[in-house]
Amino acid sequence: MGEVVHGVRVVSPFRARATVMARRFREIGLQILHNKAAVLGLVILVFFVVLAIAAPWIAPYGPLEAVPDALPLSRSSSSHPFGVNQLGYDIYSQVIWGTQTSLIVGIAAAIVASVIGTAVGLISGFVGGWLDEVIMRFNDVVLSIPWLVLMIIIAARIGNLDLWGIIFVIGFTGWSVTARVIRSQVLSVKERMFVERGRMIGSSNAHILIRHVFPNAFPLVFANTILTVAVSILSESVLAFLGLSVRNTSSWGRTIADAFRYNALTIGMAEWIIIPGLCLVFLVFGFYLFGYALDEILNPRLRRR
Amino acid sequence: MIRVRDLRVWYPLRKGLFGELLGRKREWVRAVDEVSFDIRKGEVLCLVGESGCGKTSTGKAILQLVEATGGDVFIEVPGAEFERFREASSNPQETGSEGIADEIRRKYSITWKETARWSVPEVYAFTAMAETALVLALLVPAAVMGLVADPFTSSWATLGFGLAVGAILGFVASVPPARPWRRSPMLLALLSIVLVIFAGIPTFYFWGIAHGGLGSLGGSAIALPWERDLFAMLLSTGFAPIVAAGTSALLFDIRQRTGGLGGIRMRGLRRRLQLIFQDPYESLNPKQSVYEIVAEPLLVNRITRNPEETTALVLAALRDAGLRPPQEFMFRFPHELSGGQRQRVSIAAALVLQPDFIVADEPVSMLDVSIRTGILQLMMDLRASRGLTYLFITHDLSLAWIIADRIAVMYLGKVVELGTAEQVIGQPKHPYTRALISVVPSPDPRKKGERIILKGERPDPVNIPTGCRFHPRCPMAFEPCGWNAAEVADELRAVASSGPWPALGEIAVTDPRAISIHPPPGASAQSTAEALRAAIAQDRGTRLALKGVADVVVRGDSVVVMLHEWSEPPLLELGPENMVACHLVTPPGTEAAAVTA
Amino acid sequence: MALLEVRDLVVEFKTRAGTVHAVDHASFELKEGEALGLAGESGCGKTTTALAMMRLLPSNGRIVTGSINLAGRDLVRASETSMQRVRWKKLSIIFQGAMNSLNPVQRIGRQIAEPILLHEATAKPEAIERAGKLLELVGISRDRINDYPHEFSGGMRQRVMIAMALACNPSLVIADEPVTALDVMIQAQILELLERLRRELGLSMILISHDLSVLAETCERVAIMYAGKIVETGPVVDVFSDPKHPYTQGLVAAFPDVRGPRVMPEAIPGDVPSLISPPAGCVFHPRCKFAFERCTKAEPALAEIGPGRRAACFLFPEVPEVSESEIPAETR
Repeated sequence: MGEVVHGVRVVSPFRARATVMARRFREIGLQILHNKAAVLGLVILVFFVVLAIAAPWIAPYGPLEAVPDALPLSRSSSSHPFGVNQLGYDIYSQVIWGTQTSLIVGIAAAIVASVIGTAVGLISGFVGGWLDEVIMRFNDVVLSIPWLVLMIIIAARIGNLDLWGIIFVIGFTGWSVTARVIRSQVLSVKERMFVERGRMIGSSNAHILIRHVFPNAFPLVFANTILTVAVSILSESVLAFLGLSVRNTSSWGRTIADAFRYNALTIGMAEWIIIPGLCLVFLVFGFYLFGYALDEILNPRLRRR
Repeated sequence: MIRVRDLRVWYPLRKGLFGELLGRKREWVRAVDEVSFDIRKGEVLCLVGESGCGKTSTGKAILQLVEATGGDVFIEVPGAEFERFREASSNPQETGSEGIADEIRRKYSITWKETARWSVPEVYAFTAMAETALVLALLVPAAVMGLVADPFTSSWATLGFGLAVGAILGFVASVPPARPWRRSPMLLALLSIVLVIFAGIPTFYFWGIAHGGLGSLGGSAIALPWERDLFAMLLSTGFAPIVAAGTSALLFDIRQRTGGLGGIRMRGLRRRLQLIFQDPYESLNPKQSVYEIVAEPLLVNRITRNPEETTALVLAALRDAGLRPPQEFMFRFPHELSGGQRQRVSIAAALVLQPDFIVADEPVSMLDVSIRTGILQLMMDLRASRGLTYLFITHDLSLAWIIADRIAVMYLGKVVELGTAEQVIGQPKHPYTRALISVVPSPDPRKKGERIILKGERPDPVNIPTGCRFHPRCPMAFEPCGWNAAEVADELRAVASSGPWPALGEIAVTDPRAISIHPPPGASAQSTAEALRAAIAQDRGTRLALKGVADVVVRGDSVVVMLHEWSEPPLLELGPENMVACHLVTPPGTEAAAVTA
Repeated sequence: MALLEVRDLVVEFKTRAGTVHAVDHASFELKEGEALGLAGESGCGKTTTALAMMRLLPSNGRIVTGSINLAGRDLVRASETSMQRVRWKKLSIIFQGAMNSLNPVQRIGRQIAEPILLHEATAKPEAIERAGKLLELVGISRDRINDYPHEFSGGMRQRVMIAMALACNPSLVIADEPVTALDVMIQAQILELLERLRRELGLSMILISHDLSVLAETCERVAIMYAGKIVETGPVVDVFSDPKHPYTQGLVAAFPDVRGPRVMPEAIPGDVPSLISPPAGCVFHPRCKFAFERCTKAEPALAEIGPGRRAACFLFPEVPEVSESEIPAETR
């Protein structure tokens, strides 16, 4: 298992680190399970994730498959619980397939935004000086434009977005908040005594950034990312509602848009709006709950010595 | 072993952008103001003083954790060389003496600064760094500009915009930074990767152009606005560093570089000089295990070649620091340890590089009293077993009493008394030291001596008193101690408003050494001057500022109060090993030997 | 005539890890005009005792049993409304590190006047006037009444806290580590101020500190606490020059004396025990070099071992074991 050094069995540091990290994960896991908000959020998320993964098997029809046996705009029936929309698609399937879109776009866009935001925040906070000032002023400019408006303009201008396109559009507009959050963390961590110790033993700036600053700023990143996912999902839905999102997959926003366009309310098919809407609300709520609880667990504010 | 000469550490007080632009004189916090002392091999020298006296800054400056604004810190300079340096610096008018002094400084002083050229890889690295960050930040506005301001842009305009941005960025990025950039191959590699990614994404995207040739530039490949922007990004990313390197080589020649002993030698020195921090809770990274904390100095300085060697050294260091059995502590995290154990980890991390000299900055002040002894005993044992030299910084005089060989007392950035522990604590000479010691409580209540409690608080290091820094609070200050016109004027106003003396009329400070007083209506200059002389003669015992008055003369129809000359007392040798900076102890004009040791 | 009598005070905290026995059957007295020192290292229960006296324990803490008798009134059994009449008017406290908790956006005068306005039915101008007088009482010029906290140095802010504690003329002031974060010269100034105020206003004081030297300078009597228990009490001169309890001996020996010989102080081996599961028998026995068998089985009670001196140690044969009955009051 390990070499024997000085008459004592010593485990290699990597293995030790792994055991320690495993221990820590278990600790955090237990804390999560004790936290009611976290559990609730997690349940919701798991539900939707399972739905998304199992979509090919659960959904009776494909995302672009027109149903052969029912008329367009028909009401709910036993084989089509939510009815059929104007293009002949089964709403029930649409909603299930929509889960995939929302989750994929949401998570991927959040990752893009987090990566960019973290990189910018780390560099800006750590280097400081005029570079920091310049980046922050640009950040201010970006932040001062309402993200929804910015996103809509960009998406509209570009037009014809594919999946990666929309991921990048959402990601590129969402990095500013993360950058700001990370930067403030970096600024405070940078001044802490153990960073000074790192400098004193001769660590290079890169080493300090990676080994000292980032691990202490990371917990915040993680919780922030989860909340960003919630925002991204909402963004995607908005874009889909406006018809700016991906053309050939179904999305909750699109379903709602279609419902509005074909006056679902007047013909009494309010479910077409409510069901996707509720799914959206619950999914976002799930991420929000989980992210908030995770933030509390990973960043205990009032931990006494 | 270490000789500190005229060390100065001044921190700039930022007056805000406007203040600096308007040319208001820059103010400095003179934390350490020309301090000189020696640290002998194997001894424990204690730097004591209250908060704000500059002791921590001194310690950090010796380790180069804080940049010294001036002065020298000589490490192991041979006696003969130092003699040459002393001779050269005390006879500055002789030709070549400055050259000699500088040469010795360059060889032995940590604080020597030299200037050196940028090297091309350094420029590239810095530019890439700045460029990447700024391009990232420019992404969105550039995209917006390309998208929203449609009537004003065409594909070429956007391209031009990107090129211009790149050129400006490159130019600005080529300005040498205020702080020297620590070069490291790791950093360069990282930046190169980032740069490649940044250039890579657009490049892959525009693979079509490579295939279709440049003729398709205006065509479908970059038809969409955002594709144009991306292309512009690609060009500017590659373009800017070239511009930067060229500009820098042409326009800028020099930049600062620290370390008179050269980069590599400085690294070697870092191993031998270490620091123990004050706060056992904050000085350890909570995300690192004990093993990682203690192994980090080894890894950063590339001392060990494999994990077994590292582990062996870590275990040895932990054992020496008193954490036994060391295996049990290796993989714990700081929050699982007690305060004393954390401090021992700190010490182990300092020991692992086998240093010769350790600066201990209040190492026990945040620990419980019953634990302090353990740590102190450990430090003394290590001194015996490893031949360490300590610079022990503390505000606690009782601690200095028991562990120091020699003590240096600091006040407001200057050393006021220096000597062996018995001399400084047993027979303090400087009024500040005497007051300080009289006020330190003992655990034995029978030993309550007479306490000299000073009035007021220590002044702000931005406004250091004239003459002797201690004079406003010194109970024994007299003529040459530095009473300036502002202080004496305040005192005169107080005299005038209290007491039976007639109103003195308007008191104005004309220059730092004279005060002019207009006699009150109805009195003559002569009578006012006489009344003033009488008042001063009577009150100078209680109102010490009046001792600064040398003479009261009549000039025309106003009274002028002339003040004594003052000077800052130098640190002079009083006896073997004992130095004091006080006019009372060494009156100006005595031929005592100045600090030379 | 004792102004304050604390008998068998037991305070517990409920935490996720278990019940913390913060104070275990603490008993001591304070005469009128006297200064009593409460000494002990961090975590021994001194601050908890002070908070219990003010009935300001956090929500997970409670006084299990015991009595705190202030001028005839038992504060443990008092209702919250009657406590509000006691707090600040009869008994006030200077919290640990309070000088750093001043409201940075409120002027000093307003902050000193606040307790006056809260506890007494005075008009605002009068309260500010009294605040000005209090400032002068603690040695700060009255003109500074409109300054903000950041314009004061550490020592002056502590004076402000003292002024606040005296705002409603209490008869007893508890000072929790009043000089710990200050330079030694400022420390001397503050201690001298407290001494002067005691004389001029006839105050009684309980001074809590881990620094025995500070207590040696200022207090008349002292009580030493360890792991929630009071292990020794007596006049400060006697306790520090001739400590009876082994812990006190260890503690006194651990402080370097600038007027004594140049010797390394002694350490007390071992660590402070957990307050959730304290050791059986005498709480100090794992670290005590005099421990014998009885110490591991039974707990010594705080009993009189000499004129005016009490200790909780079986080394003194007259010390009984702790039983559920009340500890008899000290005989004078």
